[in-house]
Amino acid sequence: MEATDFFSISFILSFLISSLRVSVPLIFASQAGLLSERSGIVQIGLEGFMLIGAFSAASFAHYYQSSYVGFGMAFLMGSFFSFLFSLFVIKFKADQIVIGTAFNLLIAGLIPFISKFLFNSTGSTPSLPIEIRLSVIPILLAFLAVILIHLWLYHFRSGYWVQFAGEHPETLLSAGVSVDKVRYICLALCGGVAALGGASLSLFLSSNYSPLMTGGRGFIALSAVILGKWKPIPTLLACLLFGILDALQIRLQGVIIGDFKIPVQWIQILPYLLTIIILAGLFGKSKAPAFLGKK
Amino acid sequence: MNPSNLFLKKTSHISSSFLYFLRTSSGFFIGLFFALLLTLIVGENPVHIFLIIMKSAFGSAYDLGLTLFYTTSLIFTGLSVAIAFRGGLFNIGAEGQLTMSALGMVGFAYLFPEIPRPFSYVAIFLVGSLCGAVWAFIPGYLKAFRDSHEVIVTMMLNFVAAGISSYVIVNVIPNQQSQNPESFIISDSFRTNHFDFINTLFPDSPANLFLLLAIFTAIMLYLFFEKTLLGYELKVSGENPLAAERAGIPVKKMMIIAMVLSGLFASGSGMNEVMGFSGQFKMGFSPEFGFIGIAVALMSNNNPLGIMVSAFLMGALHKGASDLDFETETITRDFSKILQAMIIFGVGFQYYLNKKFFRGENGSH
Amino acid sequence: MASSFVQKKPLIELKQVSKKFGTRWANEEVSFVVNKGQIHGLIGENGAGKSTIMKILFGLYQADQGDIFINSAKVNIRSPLDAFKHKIGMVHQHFMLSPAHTALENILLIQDHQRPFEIYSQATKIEKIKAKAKEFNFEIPWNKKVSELPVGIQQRIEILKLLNLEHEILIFDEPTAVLTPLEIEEFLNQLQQLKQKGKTIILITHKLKEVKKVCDLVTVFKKGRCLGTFPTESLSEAQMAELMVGRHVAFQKRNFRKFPSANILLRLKNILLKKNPTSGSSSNAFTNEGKTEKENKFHFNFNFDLLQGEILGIAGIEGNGQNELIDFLLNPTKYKRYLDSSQAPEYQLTGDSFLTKSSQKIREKALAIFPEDRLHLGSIPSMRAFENFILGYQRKRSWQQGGLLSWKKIKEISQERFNTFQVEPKINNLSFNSYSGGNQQKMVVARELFHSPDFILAAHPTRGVDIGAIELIHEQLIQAQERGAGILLISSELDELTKLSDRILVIREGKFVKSFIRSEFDECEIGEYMLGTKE
Repeated sequence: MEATDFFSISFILSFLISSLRVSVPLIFASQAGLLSERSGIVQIGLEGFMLIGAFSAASFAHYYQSSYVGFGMAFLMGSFFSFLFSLFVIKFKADQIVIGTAFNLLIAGLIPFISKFLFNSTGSTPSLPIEIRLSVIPILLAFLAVILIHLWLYHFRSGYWVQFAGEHPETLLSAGVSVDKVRYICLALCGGVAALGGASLSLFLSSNYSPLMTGGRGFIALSAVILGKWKPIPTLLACLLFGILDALQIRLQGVIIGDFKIPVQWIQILPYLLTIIILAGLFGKSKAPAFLGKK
Repeated sequence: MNPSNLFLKKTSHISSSFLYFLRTSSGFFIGLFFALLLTLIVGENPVHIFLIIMKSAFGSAYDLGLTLFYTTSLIFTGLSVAIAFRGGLFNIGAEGQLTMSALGMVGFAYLFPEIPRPFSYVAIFLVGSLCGAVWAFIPGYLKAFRDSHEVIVTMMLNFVAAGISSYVIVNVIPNQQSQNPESFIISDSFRTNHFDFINTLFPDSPANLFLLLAIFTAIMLYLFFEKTLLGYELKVSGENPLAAERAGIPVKKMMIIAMVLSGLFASGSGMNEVMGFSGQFKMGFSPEFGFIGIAVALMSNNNPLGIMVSAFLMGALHKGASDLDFETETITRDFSKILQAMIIFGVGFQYYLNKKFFRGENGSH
Repeated sequence: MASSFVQKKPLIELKQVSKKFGTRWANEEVSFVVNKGQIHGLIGENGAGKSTIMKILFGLYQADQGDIFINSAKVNIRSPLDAFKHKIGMVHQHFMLSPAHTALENILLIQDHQRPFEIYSQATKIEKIKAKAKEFNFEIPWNKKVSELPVGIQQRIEILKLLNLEHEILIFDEPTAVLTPLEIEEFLNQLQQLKQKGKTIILITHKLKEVKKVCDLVTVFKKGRCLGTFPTESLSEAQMAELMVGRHVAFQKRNFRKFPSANILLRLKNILLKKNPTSGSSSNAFTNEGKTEKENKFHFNFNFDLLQGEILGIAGIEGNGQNELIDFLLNPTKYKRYLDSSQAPEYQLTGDSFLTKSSQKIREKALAIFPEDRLHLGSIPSMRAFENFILGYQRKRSWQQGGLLSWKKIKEISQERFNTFQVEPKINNLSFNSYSGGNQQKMVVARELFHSPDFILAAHPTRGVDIGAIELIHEQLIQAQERGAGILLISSELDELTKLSDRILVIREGKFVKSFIRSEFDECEIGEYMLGTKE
């Protein structure tokens, strides 16, 4: 591709659409992370929940030949695994970061284990036919999720419970609401929604599951939460920004400007560098919920 | 005097050491047990799988050598996680630190191939240490002076390190003879294998001299915590930064020291690979040693001596699982990840049990 | 029991209530009754179980044994929501307010029925809250975040939370601990007002003066047990104290025969700090636990001399610069950037200038600190007692042998020292937090006075400690003074200050606004300067 192609209308349009498409998994996952973190639980297991979502979505969609079943089952499986996660961090009071890391490991090991058993392959699931793949609905769903979470958090009583659970859990307790219950529910939703992000990777952006296909998106989603200051709408904007970077990286592969070939890795590390810069407080401080990660 | 403390002291030797055993290692066995139980789902016999793992880990001098090679790297990353933890910081960036260390070493060897022995060793050792230390200094500094959460920063730096190394290895210093993503092979004057007496004990395996360095480092770290003023001040500022500040301990400096030492130890894993074994940077040479290091440190409750034991156990499991590909029809080497995860869960559960059944007896508060 | 309340119908009746934490009984067979429309005091030392029993009544803890009756009917209170049903509300010692939310949002959180899917900020509910506030003359900045509000207002928000639900039984846990004398006065009047409106009030406190002032009945707790309920007028303060402690309490009076010498021990002159570094973006690790971060709008100006053999009291409402003063004394270099150097600032301790010295250098001086919060500032709770013995003095050469720490030596010396201070249990290798509060404080005092300090910085030295430990600490301070040490006594208890000090300086908004010498001590006047009603 030549550099001049970058300025045609059709290019810009298709670029924007592809940016939107690639941000869908991030939007789901970051909103999921936001739910968990707002309730006070550090969430670094998003990568794992996304993977389990991607894999179970692809498997069930293949089995039932329906993307909808795939998305639905991804939600359930994600919730199930994050329930296990919540058991460890809430009931056993284990370290949230350690358990999150362990979940990422577990799921990365569990998927090939099951996949070998089910499909006799260590990685990929069979491809879905084009007819049953979704084209627009996941985008709408992602935006719907953001709107619902925003409304819930800031307008409904139980949404305020989530806020108080993250800001000052004792206050919530003295109001007669079980902090643990609020967190259990937030985590179950977190796993489910993150899994939807994974499902949109395997059913929407591609046609099957391939090993470790999330490629760090769970962590980028977490960056988006930080960049979005733990608020749903700004987090969505951060995801769109990262989506643009991602689309750019795909477009720039092999592009030569003058004599210079832009290495994709440079663009790949941008979201991570951006997060570090934000955390260093160079663009104003991003304030985490006061009781995030505290027991 | 608190009677329950007396009770704990006066119970017979056997039962108290059994209790100690339960308190410290039940998590490992619980995790191992449940991981093996999973193999029932796919129709395997857990005992059979366990035997395969054991045979693969210890079956021959070569197998044991490979186990010890992993052990070496895991001691280093375990110590790395542990010292940061003792200093009150959670370093999940050992992976990035060891990557940068390895990258720094091959980069240095590429730029200055002519340095004569023994200066070459000193130089590459320093460069490797420096790269790991700098990569850990960044989150330490940001934590101390910008209050940035070290977990997120180290995690992001892992990805940055992966990106940089992938770029450099593939685009700048690739191995021309190979299709794999790996760097060129550094000159012999930077490698230790031709005088490696550890390696001669385990012929053809990657076990090398750095095993001794790892053990030495663990012992030194143990003494550092137990016997030195700096070790005491580091522990104090990790446990209670407010009280440390009152006690005239420069807390921010301690944070940075803890992180830099942490990065230094993580570098050991990179050296084990580059200087001790392959002489090059192969993409993916670390099966996430940095993360397994968290499990290693956790299992031993951040005690440097215990880390040697838990690193050996985890190393053995990792090596053992790697042969599952050939030995079974249904289970792949990825099973080692399940093992590691389940052991972490087991240890988390063990902490819970300890709190529930042992701590109440001291009547805290 | 006394006849004055026999005819009254008990509103709440606790029968043989017990609660166990681990192996320790926090409450053992506690029985007493609370009458309708009265103010009922609960007194006892720290850890006597008075807060625990109220948390059981409020549903935060569940009793292991025993029954609770309300209006003669047995009730089962499993959560605060159950308590709300019985019209019971509680204002906790540490306010149950989310600093990141507004006053209104905090009040809206408390509801009789928690319906998950109702709209949170309903106009009718907000109106009702505002009407309630009007009824009780509470002025509350509704849309300000709680973190920006002073404690007095925060307490009103807490009370309003209960009034809003029409609660009849109001439990207050140490409500006056955070208030100044005038605010206390106002608060006690409010209690009377609530009583007149028919509310039943349970007041947990350790300030016997307040009990005498407002309570109708008083129940005394000791070591988890209830010693009985008495009409307040039947007991004097001294008798209450004696019941609580279990023996006659003789508060040692300071002997003022030993006067301060004329030698200046500590001099702070023209220490002008432009901004408080702890309130900036960097680490909040240095703001004290439990204190909401207040905006430090004011500048600091520290100017005083402390003489040898003098006890100099610093009075002031918390958050007016006391913490910065302590912090500055211990770590002046941290404030280097904020110090106005054009005014020739001086910080001298025993003749040496410390303005540019590191905190390590200062700790090498013969200086002792009684921290205001022994667990958070004066110890490492998870480390063993003997390891805590060198904390703050860890750089002393005498602990070392060949460059390494000699734990054997430290163990021996600390054990001997703890024995002289009667620390129980008599072993020093348990973790610090497994000793009781009083023993922890004894260990801290034992450590700090071990090196015969010339200068003692005693910050809220008796906060949260038992009467027995207060005696010990005051005794030790007086002994040190008589030996010729200079003591800077920072306290929010005016009683303590007037009892011990030679002089009192009042600090407000970072500056010393008034100095009193012993003959001029007047608690009310000091209080007015603290509040700023008198300049």
